[in-house]
Amino acid sequence: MSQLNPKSEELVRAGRAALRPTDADRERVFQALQPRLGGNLEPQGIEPLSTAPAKASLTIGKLTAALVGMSVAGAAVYVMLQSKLPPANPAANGAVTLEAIPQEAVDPTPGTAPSALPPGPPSNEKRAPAAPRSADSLAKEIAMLSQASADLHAGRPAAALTVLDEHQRKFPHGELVQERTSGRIQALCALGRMTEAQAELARLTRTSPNSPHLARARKACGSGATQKE
Amino acid sequence: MAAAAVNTDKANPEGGDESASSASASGEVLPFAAIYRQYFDFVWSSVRRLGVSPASMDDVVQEVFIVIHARLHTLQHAETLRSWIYGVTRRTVSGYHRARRVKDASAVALAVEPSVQQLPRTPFDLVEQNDQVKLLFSLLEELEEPKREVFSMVELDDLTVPEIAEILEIPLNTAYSRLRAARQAFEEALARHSARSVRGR
Repeated sequence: MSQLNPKSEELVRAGRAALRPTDADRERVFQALQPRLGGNLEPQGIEPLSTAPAKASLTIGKLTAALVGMSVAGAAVYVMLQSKLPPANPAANGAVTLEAIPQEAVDPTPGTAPSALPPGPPSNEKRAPAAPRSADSLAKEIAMLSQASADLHAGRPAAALTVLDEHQRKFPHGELVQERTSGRIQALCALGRMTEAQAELARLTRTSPNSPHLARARKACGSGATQKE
Repeated sequence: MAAAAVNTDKANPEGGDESASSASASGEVLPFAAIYRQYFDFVWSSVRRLGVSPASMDDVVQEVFIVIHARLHTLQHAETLRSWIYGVTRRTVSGYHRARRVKDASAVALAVEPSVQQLPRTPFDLVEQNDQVKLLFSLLEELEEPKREVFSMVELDDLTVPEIAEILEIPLNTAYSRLRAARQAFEEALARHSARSVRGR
Protein backbone atom coordinates (compact mmCIF):
# COMPACT_ATOMS: atom_id res chain seq x y z
CA MET A 1 0.00 0.00 0.00
CA SER A 2 1.50 3.28 -1.10
CA GLN A 3 1.90 5.98 1.49
CA LEU A 4 1.38 9.68 1.14
CA ASN A 5 4.23 12.01 0.35
CA PRO A 6 5.38 14.40 3.09
CA LYS A 7 3.40 17.36 1.77
CA SER A 8 0.20 15.32 1.69
CA GLU A 9 0.88 13.97 5.16
CA GLU A 10 1.32 17.49 6.40
CA LEU A 11 -2.07 18.45 5.02
CA VAL A 12 -3.66 15.40 6.59
CA ARG A 13 -2.13 16.25 9.96
CA ALA A 14 -3.51 19.77 9.71
CA GLY A 15 -6.90 18.36 8.85
CA ARG A 16 -6.88 16.00 11.80
CA ALA A 17 -5.89 18.80 14.14
CA ALA A 18 -8.68 21.00 12.85
CA LEU A 19 -11.25 18.28 13.42
CA ARG A 20 -10.10 17.41 16.92
CA PRO A 21 -12.32 18.43 19.86
CA THR A 22 -11.15 20.47 22.80
CA ASP A 23 -11.45 19.48 26.43
CA ALA A 24 -14.22 22.02 26.69
CA ASP A 25 -16.11 20.27 23.89
CA ARG A 26 -15.75 16.95 25.68
CA GLU A 27 -16.94 18.29 29.02
CA ARG A 28 -19.78 20.35 27.57
CA VAL A 29 -21.23 17.41 25.65
CA PHE A 30 -20.83 15.14 28.66
CA GLN A 31 -22.71 17.55 30.88
CA ALA A 32 -25.48 17.89 28.31
CA LEU A 33 -25.65 14.16 27.83
CA GLN A 34 -26.06 13.30 31.50
CA PRO A 35 -29.65 14.50 31.95
CA ARG A 36 -30.65 13.10 28.57
CA LEU A 37 -29.57 9.69 29.78
CA GLY A 38 -31.38 10.08 33.06
CA GLY A 39 -28.12 10.77 34.86
CA ASN A 40 -27.11 7.18 34.39
CA LEU A 41 -24.31 6.58 31.95
CA GLU A 42 -24.11 2.87 32.43
CA PRO A 43 -25.89 0.73 29.84
CA GLN A 44 -27.27 -1.46 32.60
CA GLY A 45 -29.29 1.57 33.67
CA ILE A 46 -31.58 1.23 30.70
CA GLU A 47 -34.89 -0.12 31.80
CA PRO A 48 -36.28 -2.78 29.52
CA LEU A 49 -39.32 -1.43 27.77
CA SER A 50 -41.37 -4.43 28.70
CA THR A 51 -40.95 -3.85 32.42
CA ALA A 52 -40.29 -0.14 32.77
CA PRO A 53 -42.90 1.67 34.80
CA ALA A 54 -44.33 4.85 33.44
CA LYS A 55 -42.65 7.77 35.07
CA ALA A 56 -41.98 11.36 34.48
CA SER A 57 -38.33 11.16 33.59
CA LEU A 58 -37.34 10.44 30.04
CA THR A 59 -35.43 7.19 29.89
CA ILE A 60 -33.21 6.34 27.01
CA GLY A 61 -35.44 3.44 26.17
CA LYS A 62 -38.35 5.76 25.71
CA LEU A 63 -36.34 8.15 23.65
CA THR A 64 -35.06 5.40 21.44
CA ALA A 65 -38.51 3.99 20.96
CA ALA A 66 -39.74 7.46 20.18
CA LEU A 67 -37.10 7.91 17.56
CA VAL A 68 -37.80 4.57 16.04
CA GLY A 69 -41.49 5.23 16.10
CA MET A 70 -41.19 8.59 14.47
CA SER A 71 -38.80 7.15 11.93
CA VAL A 72 -41.43 4.61 11.12
CA ALA A 73 -44.04 7.32 10.97
CA GLY A 74 -41.86 9.32 8.64
CA ALA A 75 -41.34 6.36 6.38
CA ALA A 76 -45.06 5.72 6.47
CA VAL A 77 -45.58 9.30 5.43
CA TYR A 78 -43.34 8.65 2.50
CA VAL A 79 -45.25 5.54 1.56
CA MET A 80 -48.52 7.43 1.82
CA LEU A 81 -47.14 10.17 -0.32
CA GLN A 82 -46.16 7.66 -2.93
CA SER A 83 -49.66 6.34 -3.12
CA LYS A 84 -51.52 9.60 -2.85
CA LEU A 85 -49.69 12.21 -4.77
CA PRO A 86 -50.82 12.52 -8.33
CA PRO A 87 -48.13 12.52 -10.94
CA ALA A 88 -47.20 16.08 -11.49
CA ASN A 89 -44.69 18.13 -13.27
CA PRO A 90 -42.98 20.07 -10.55
CA ALA A 91 -41.53 22.47 -13.00
CA ALA A 92 -45.03 23.33 -14.15
CA ASN A 93 -46.91 23.66 -10.89
CA GLY A 94 -44.34 23.63 -8.12
CA ALA A 95 -45.77 20.51 -6.52
CA VAL A 96 -43.61 18.36 -4.37
CA THR A 97 -42.05 15.36 -6.06
CA LEU A 98 -41.66 11.90 -4.63
CA GLU A 99 -37.95 12.03 -5.20
CA ALA A 100 -37.77 15.19 -3.17
CA ILE A 101 -38.42 13.33 0.07
CA PRO A 102 -35.95 10.50 0.45
CA GLN A 103 -37.31 7.41 2.12
CA GLU A 104 -34.73 7.63 4.86
CA ALA A 105 -35.30 11.31 5.42
CA VAL A 106 -36.43 10.72 8.96
CA ASP A 107 -34.65 7.48 9.59
CA PRO A 108 -31.44 8.27 11.37
CA THR A 109 -31.76 5.39 13.75
CA PRO A 110 -29.49 2.51 12.82
CA GLY A 111 -31.16 -0.69 11.95
CA THR A 112 -34.51 0.84 11.19
CA ALA A 113 -34.98 -0.03 7.58
CA PRO A 114 -38.04 1.63 6.10
CA SER A 115 -38.30 -1.23 3.68
CA ALA A 116 -38.98 -3.50 6.63
CA LEU A 117 -42.03 -1.55 7.65
CA PRO A 118 -45.21 -3.56 7.69
CA PRO A 119 -47.95 -2.13 5.55
CA GLY A 120 -50.54 -0.43 7.69
CA PRO A 121 -53.68 -2.51 8.13
CA PRO A 122 -57.01 -0.91 7.42
CA SER A 123 -57.89 1.56 10.11
CA ASN A 124 -61.24 1.80 11.86
CA GLU A 125 -60.69 5.46 12.35
CA LYS A 126 -63.57 7.47 11.07
CA ARG A 127 -62.50 10.50 9.20
CA ALA A 128 -64.48 13.52 8.19
CA PRO A 129 -66.01 13.36 4.75
CA ALA A 130 -63.06 13.66 2.52
CA ALA A 131 -62.78 16.88 0.71
CA PRO A 132 -60.53 16.70 -2.30
CA ARG A 133 -57.03 17.12 -1.02
CA SER A 134 -54.34 18.72 -3.03
CA ALA A 135 -50.84 17.44 -3.20
CA ASP A 136 -49.87 20.77 -1.74
CA SER A 137 -51.80 20.25 1.50
CA LEU A 138 -50.45 16.75 1.84
CA ALA A 139 -46.96 18.04 1.24
CA LYS A 140 -47.51 20.60 3.97
CA GLU A 141 -48.66 17.89 6.33
CA ILE A 142 -45.57 15.89 5.50
CA ALA A 143 -43.32 18.86 6.03
CA MET A 144 -44.82 19.51 9.44
CA LEU A 145 -44.59 15.92 10.58
CA SER A 146 -41.06 15.67 9.27
CA GLN A 147 -40.21 18.71 11.34
CA ALA A 148 -41.78 17.13 14.39
CA SER A 149 -39.82 13.97 13.72
CA ALA A 150 -36.61 15.92 13.44
CA ASP A 151 -37.37 17.68 16.71
CA LEU A 152 -38.04 14.40 18.47
CA HIS A 153 -34.90 12.98 16.98
CA ALA A 154 -32.91 15.93 18.25
CA GLY A 155 -34.30 15.55 21.77
CA ARG A 156 -36.69 18.49 21.52
CA PRO A 157 -40.04 16.96 22.42
CA ALA A 158 -41.55 20.33 23.39
CA ALA A 159 -40.76 21.72 19.96
CA ALA A 160 -42.13 18.56 18.37
CA LEU A 161 -45.33 18.98 20.35
CA THR A 162 -45.71 22.56 19.20
CA VAL A 163 -45.43 21.49 15.58
CA LEU A 164 -47.87 18.65 16.12
CA ASP A 165 -50.35 20.98 17.79
CA GLU A 166 -50.07 23.29 14.84
CA HIS A 167 -50.66 20.37 12.53
CA GLN A 168 -53.79 19.55 14.50
CA ARG A 169 -55.06 23.08 14.12
CA LYS A 170 -54.36 23.26 10.42
CA PHE A 171 -55.31 19.73 9.49
CA PRO A 172 -57.82 18.50 12.09
CA HIS A 173 -58.98 15.82 9.66
CA GLY A 174 -55.79 15.50 7.70
CA GLU A 175 -54.42 12.48 5.96
CA LEU A 176 -51.80 11.87 8.59
CA VAL A 177 -53.82 11.89 11.79
CA GLN A 178 -52.44 8.57 13.01
CA GLU A 179 -48.88 9.70 12.45
CA ARG A 180 -49.61 12.92 14.31
CA THR A 181 -51.17 11.09 17.22
CA SER A 182 -48.28 8.67 17.42
CA GLY A 183 -45.79 11.50 17.43
CA ARG A 184 -47.82 13.36 20.02
CA ILE A 185 -47.83 10.36 22.34
CA GLN A 186 -44.10 10.02 22.04
CA ALA A 187 -43.52 13.71 22.65
CA LEU A 188 -45.79 13.72 25.69
CA CYS A 189 -44.02 10.70 27.12
CA ALA A 190 -40.67 12.32 26.52
CA LEU A 191 -41.89 15.34 28.44
CA GLY A 192 -43.12 13.16 31.27
CA ARG A 193 -46.76 14.13 30.67
CA MET A 194 -47.87 10.57 31.10
CA THR A 195 -51.53 11.18 31.88
CA GLU A 196 -52.03 13.06 28.64
CA ALA A 197 -49.98 10.48 26.79
CA GLN A 198 -52.13 7.69 28.15
CA ALA A 199 -55.29 9.54 27.14
CA GLU A 200 -53.98 9.93 23.62
CA LEU A 201 -52.90 6.33 23.54
CA ALA A 202 -56.33 5.20 24.67
CA ARG A 203 -57.91 7.29 21.95
CA LEU A 204 -55.62 5.86 19.31
CA THR A 205 -56.38 2.37 20.57
CA ARG A 206 -60.08 3.11 20.33
CA THR A 207 -60.07 4.73 16.92
CA SER A 208 -57.32 2.71 15.24
CA PRO A 209 -56.88 -0.60 17.06
CA ASN A 210 -54.95 -2.07 14.18
CA SER A 211 -52.71 0.89 13.56
CA PRO A 212 -49.06 -0.01 13.13
CA HIS A 213 -48.27 3.12 15.13
CA LEU A 214 -50.03 1.81 18.19
CA ALA A 215 -47.45 -0.71 19.34
CA ARG A 216 -44.65 1.74 18.81
CA ALA A 217 -46.42 4.47 20.69
CA ARG A 218 -46.93 2.03 23.56
CA LYS A 219 -43.28 1.14 23.53
CA ALA A 220 -42.28 4.77 23.53
CA CYS A 221 -44.09 5.22 26.81
CA GLY A 222 -43.19 1.95 28.46
CA SER A 223 -45.56 -0.74 29.51
CA GLY A 224 -47.10 1.44 32.20
CA ALA A 225 -49.08 3.33 29.62
CA THR A 226 -50.29 0.10 28.11
CA GLN A 227 -51.43 -1.34 31.40
CA LYS A 228 -53.41 1.72 32.30
CA GLU A 229 -55.43 1.73 29.13
CA MET B 1 -24.26 0.46 7.24
CA ALA B 2 -24.37 0.17 10.97
CA ALA B 3 -26.74 -2.70 10.56
CA ALA B 4 -23.95 -4.59 8.91
CA ALA B 5 -21.59 -3.82 11.71
CA VAL B 6 -24.00 -5.00 14.36
CA ASN B 7 -25.27 -8.40 13.56
CA THR B 8 -28.31 -8.14 15.73
CA ASP B 9 -29.56 -4.94 14.18
CA LYS B 10 -31.42 -6.58 11.35
CA ALA B 11 -32.98 -9.17 13.56
CA ASN B 12 -33.76 -6.67 16.25
CA PRO B 13 -34.44 -3.40 14.54
CA GLU B 14 -35.95 -1.71 17.56
CA GLY B 15 -33.33 -2.86 19.97
CA GLY B 16 -35.89 -4.05 22.43
CA ASP B 17 -34.79 -7.65 22.70
CA GLU B 18 -33.14 -8.06 26.04
CA SER B 19 -31.82 -11.45 25.02
CA ALA B 20 -29.35 -9.65 22.80
CA SER B 21 -27.54 -8.13 25.75
CA SER B 22 -25.11 -10.98 26.19
CA ALA B 23 -22.16 -9.01 24.97
CA SER B 24 -22.46 -6.34 27.64
CA ALA B 25 -23.49 -8.79 30.30
CA SER B 26 -20.42 -10.88 29.68
CA GLY B 27 -18.18 -7.85 29.99
CA GLU B 28 -16.85 -8.10 26.48
CA VAL B 29 -17.96 -4.59 25.66
CA LEU B 30 -16.69 -1.57 27.52
CA PRO B 31 -19.08 0.23 29.84
CA PHE B 32 -20.69 3.23 28.22
CA ALA B 33 -18.77 5.75 30.31
CA ALA B 34 -15.51 4.19 29.16
CA ILE B 35 -16.69 4.20 25.59
CA TYR B 36 -17.51 7.87 25.90
CA ARG B 37 -14.04 8.65 27.19
CA GLN B 38 -12.30 6.48 24.64
CA TYR B 39 -14.31 7.35 21.57
CA PHE B 40 -15.42 10.92 22.08
CA ASP B 41 -12.62 12.36 19.95
CA PHE B 42 -13.27 9.78 17.27
CA VAL B 43 -16.97 10.54 17.16
CA TRP B 44 -16.49 14.29 17.31
CA SER B 45 -13.91 14.33 14.51
CA SER B 46 -16.00 12.05 12.35
CA VAL B 47 -19.13 14.12 12.85
CA ARG B 48 -17.26 17.29 11.97
CA ARG B 49 -15.57 15.71 8.99
CA LEU B 50 -18.91 14.50 7.72
CA GLY B 51 -20.03 18.10 7.37
CA VAL B 52 -22.03 18.96 10.46
CA SER B 53 -21.97 22.68 11.16
CA PRO B 54 -20.20 23.87 14.32
CA ALA B 55 -23.51 25.13 15.68
CA SER B 56 -24.98 21.65 15.47
CA MET B 57 -21.96 19.69 16.65
CA ASP B 58 -23.06 19.30 20.25
CA ASP B 59 -26.53 18.11 19.33
CA VAL B 60 -25.36 15.61 16.75
CA VAL B 61 -22.57 14.20 18.90
CA GLN B 62 -24.99 13.82 21.79
CA GLU B 63 -27.36 12.01 19.51
CA VAL B 64 -24.63 9.61 18.45
CA PHE B 65 -23.86 8.74 22.05
CA ILE B 66 -27.52 8.38 22.92
CA VAL B 67 -27.90 5.83 20.16
CA ILE B 68 -24.72 4.09 21.29
CA HIS B 69 -26.01 4.01 24.85
CA ALA B 70 -29.36 2.63 23.81
CA ARG B 71 -28.07 0.02 21.43
CA LEU B 72 -24.80 -1.07 22.96
CA HIS B 73 -26.38 -4.21 24.25
CA THR B 74 -26.96 -5.33 20.68
CA LEU B 75 -23.25 -5.38 19.92
CA GLN B 76 -22.19 -9.00 19.86
CA HIS B 77 -18.58 -8.67 18.84
CA ALA B 78 -16.56 -6.28 20.93
CA GLU B 79 -13.80 -6.21 18.34
CA THR B 80 -16.15 -4.45 15.92
CA LEU B 81 -16.98 -1.70 18.40
CA ARG B 82 -15.16 1.06 16.56
CA SER B 83 -16.64 0.30 13.16
CA TRP B 84 -20.03 -0.07 14.84
CA ILE B 85 -19.66 3.36 16.44
CA TYR B 86 -18.63 4.79 13.13
CA GLY B 87 -21.70 3.26 11.52
CA VAL B 88 -23.90 4.87 14.17
CA THR B 89 -22.12 8.17 13.59
CA ARG B 90 -22.51 7.99 9.86
CA ARG B 91 -26.21 7.27 10.04
CA THR B 92 -26.84 9.94 12.61
CA VAL B 93 -25.06 12.55 10.52
CA SER B 94 -26.95 11.37 7.48
CA GLY B 95 -30.18 11.89 9.38
CA TYR B 96 -29.01 15.34 10.40
CA HIS B 97 -28.41 16.35 6.80
CA ARG B 98 -31.77 15.01 5.74
CA ALA B 99 -33.56 16.75 8.59
CA ARG B 100 -31.84 19.97 7.63
CA ARG B 101 -32.97 19.61 4.07
CA VAL B 102 -36.53 19.10 5.21
CA LYS B 103 -36.30 22.02 7.60
CA ASP B 104 -34.65 24.39 5.19
CA ALA B 105 -36.98 23.76 2.32
CA SER B 106 -40.60 24.71 2.18
CA ALA B 107 -43.00 22.06 1.00
CA VAL B 108 -42.93 23.50 -2.46
CA ALA B 109 -39.25 24.15 -2.43
CA LEU B 110 -38.67 20.49 -1.75
CA ALA B 111 -39.11 20.01 -5.47
CA VAL B 112 -35.90 21.85 -6.08
CA GLU B 113 -33.99 20.86 -3.01
CA PRO B 114 -30.24 20.59 -3.43
CA SER B 115 -28.86 17.22 -4.19
CA VAL B 116 -26.70 15.37 -1.71
CA GLN B 117 -23.72 16.30 -3.78
CA GLN B 118 -24.40 19.97 -3.13
CA LEU B 119 -24.61 19.60 0.62
CA PRO B 120 -21.54 20.37 2.66
CA ARG B 121 -19.63 17.15 3.06
CA THR B 122 -16.72 18.66 4.83
CA PRO B 123 -16.17 21.50 7.24
CA PHE B 124 -14.32 23.27 4.46
CA ASP B 125 -16.85 26.05 4.28
CA LEU B 126 -16.61 26.54 8.00
CA VAL B 127 -12.90 26.49 8.49
CA GLU B 128 -11.43 29.76 7.45
CA GLN B 129 -8.47 30.05 9.72
CA ASN B 130 -6.17 27.51 8.26
CA ASP B 131 -4.93 27.54 4.69
CA GLN B 132 -3.67 23.99 4.94
CA VAL B 133 -7.02 22.75 6.09
CA LYS B 134 -8.74 24.65 3.31
CA LEU B 135 -6.33 23.18 0.81
CA LEU B 136 -6.84 19.68 2.17
CA PHE B 137 -10.59 19.80 1.85
CA SER B 138 -10.49 21.53 -1.52
CA LEU B 139 -8.29 18.70 -2.78
CA LEU B 140 -10.68 16.16 -1.34
CA GLU B 141 -13.47 17.84 -3.23
CA GLU B 142 -11.67 16.95 -6.43
CA LEU B 143 -11.82 13.24 -5.68
CA GLU B 144 -14.68 11.06 -6.78
CA GLU B 145 -17.02 10.31 -3.90
CA PRO B 146 -16.01 6.66 -3.32
CA LYS B 147 -12.35 7.61 -3.25
CA ARG B 148 -12.91 10.65 -1.07
CA GLU B 149 -14.87 8.57 1.36
CA VAL B 150 -12.23 5.89 1.74
CA PHE B 151 -9.39 8.40 1.85
CA SER B 152 -11.11 10.43 4.53
CA MET B 153 -12.01 7.40 6.58
CA VAL B 154 -8.40 6.21 6.62
CA GLU B 155 -6.48 9.46 6.78
CA LEU B 156 -8.83 11.62 8.84
CA ASP B 157 -11.09 9.25 10.75
CA ASP B 158 -8.25 6.83 11.40
CA LEU B 159 -10.18 3.74 10.46
CA THR B 160 -8.41 0.63 9.24
CA VAL B 161 -9.04 -0.79 5.81
CA PRO B 162 -10.73 -3.91 7.21
CA GLU B 163 -13.03 -1.67 9.26
CA ILE B 164 -13.85 0.34 6.16
CA ALA B 165 -14.58 -2.81 4.20
CA GLU B 166 -17.01 -3.84 6.91
CA ILE B 167 -18.67 -0.44 7.20
CA LEU B 168 -19.05 0.03 3.46
CA GLU B 169 -19.87 -3.63 2.93
CA ILE B 170 -17.29 -4.02 0.21
CA PRO B 171 -14.67 -6.74 -0.26
CA LEU B 172 -11.41 -6.13 1.51
CA ASN B 173 -9.47 -6.13 -1.74
CA THR B 174 -11.82 -3.51 -3.13
CA ALA B 175 -11.24 -1.34 -0.10
CA TYR B 176 -7.47 -1.61 -0.48
CA SER B 177 -7.51 -0.88 -4.18
CA ARG B 178 -9.89 2.03 -3.66
CA LEU B 179 -7.60 3.51 -1.03
CA ARG B 180 -4.60 3.10 -3.30
CA ALA B 181 -6.41 4.87 -6.11
CA ALA B 182 -7.66 7.56 -3.72
CA ARG B 183 -4.18 8.31 -2.45
CA GLN B 184 -2.90 8.51 -5.99
CA ALA B 185 -5.73 10.83 -6.98
CA PHE B 186 -5.07 13.00 -3.95
CA GLU B 187 -1.37 13.28 -4.81
CA GLU B 188 -2.26 14.18 -8.38
CA ALA B 189 -4.70 16.83 -7.19
CA LEU B 190 -2.02 18.25 -4.94
CA ALA B 191 0.47 18.26 -7.83
CA ARG B 192 -2.01 20.12 -9.99
CA HIS B 193 -2.56 22.64 -7.24
CA SER B 194 1.18 23.14 -6.83
CA ALA B 195 1.59 23.60 -10.57
CA ARG B 196 -1.16 26.20 -10.60
CA SER B 197 0.46 28.00 -7.70
CA VAL B 198 3.81 28.11 -9.48
CA ARG B 199 2.22 29.43 -12.67
CA GLY B 200 0.34 32.05 -10.68
CA ARG B 201 3.46 33.60 -9.26
